[in-house]
Amino acid sequence: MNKPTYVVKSTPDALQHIFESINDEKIIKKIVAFVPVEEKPNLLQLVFGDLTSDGQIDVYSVSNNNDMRLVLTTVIGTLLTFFDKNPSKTVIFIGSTTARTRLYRAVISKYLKQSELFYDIKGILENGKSEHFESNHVYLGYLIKQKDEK
Amino acid sequence: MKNKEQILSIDRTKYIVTTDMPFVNLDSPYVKEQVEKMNQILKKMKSASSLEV
Repeated sequence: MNKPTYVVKSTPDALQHIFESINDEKIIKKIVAFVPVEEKPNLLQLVFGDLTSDGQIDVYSVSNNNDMRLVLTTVIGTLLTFFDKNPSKTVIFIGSTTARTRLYRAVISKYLKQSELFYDIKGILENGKSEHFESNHVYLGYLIKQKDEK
Repeated sequence: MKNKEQILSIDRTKYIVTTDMPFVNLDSPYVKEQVEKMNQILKKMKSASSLEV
């Protein structure tokens, strides 16, 4: 059975995705934005956070909306949508805090590691070198690229 | 052979493409800070000659 996600609104270029994290007490607007990196036309940075009323992305917000699994599955879905539209691009992402970078490692291990047939996933080490992602290594950030369709 | 959707088993039916999106300020301090952190990492990667993109 497919893992459920929230309803997501995506821009036609798949660079921005907005959804609402919902529980009985509150609704929080979330955004996943793929931000182009200067001087690296094939590289985009994934920025994820709460969308504030004035259009800012609050990357430090802690929602405690008891829906982390649903939110993370939805975010991974936005990554798939992004690669559908931008198959030759590479995505880099880092956590806003060390704890979140660790959380992303857990998410990659749990959800994305099984898709290595389709994606190259690398971890960026403290010394700046990158390596094939290993679940038990500590990374500064992550690089994901869709493999060429054969 | 399974495709990536089947392997990831994520329901993709709820992703709607639209131009009706709220304003998002990508020049905000939060985003700039994230970009700056990433630039520091890219610098390290460049020094280590591991930046392939």
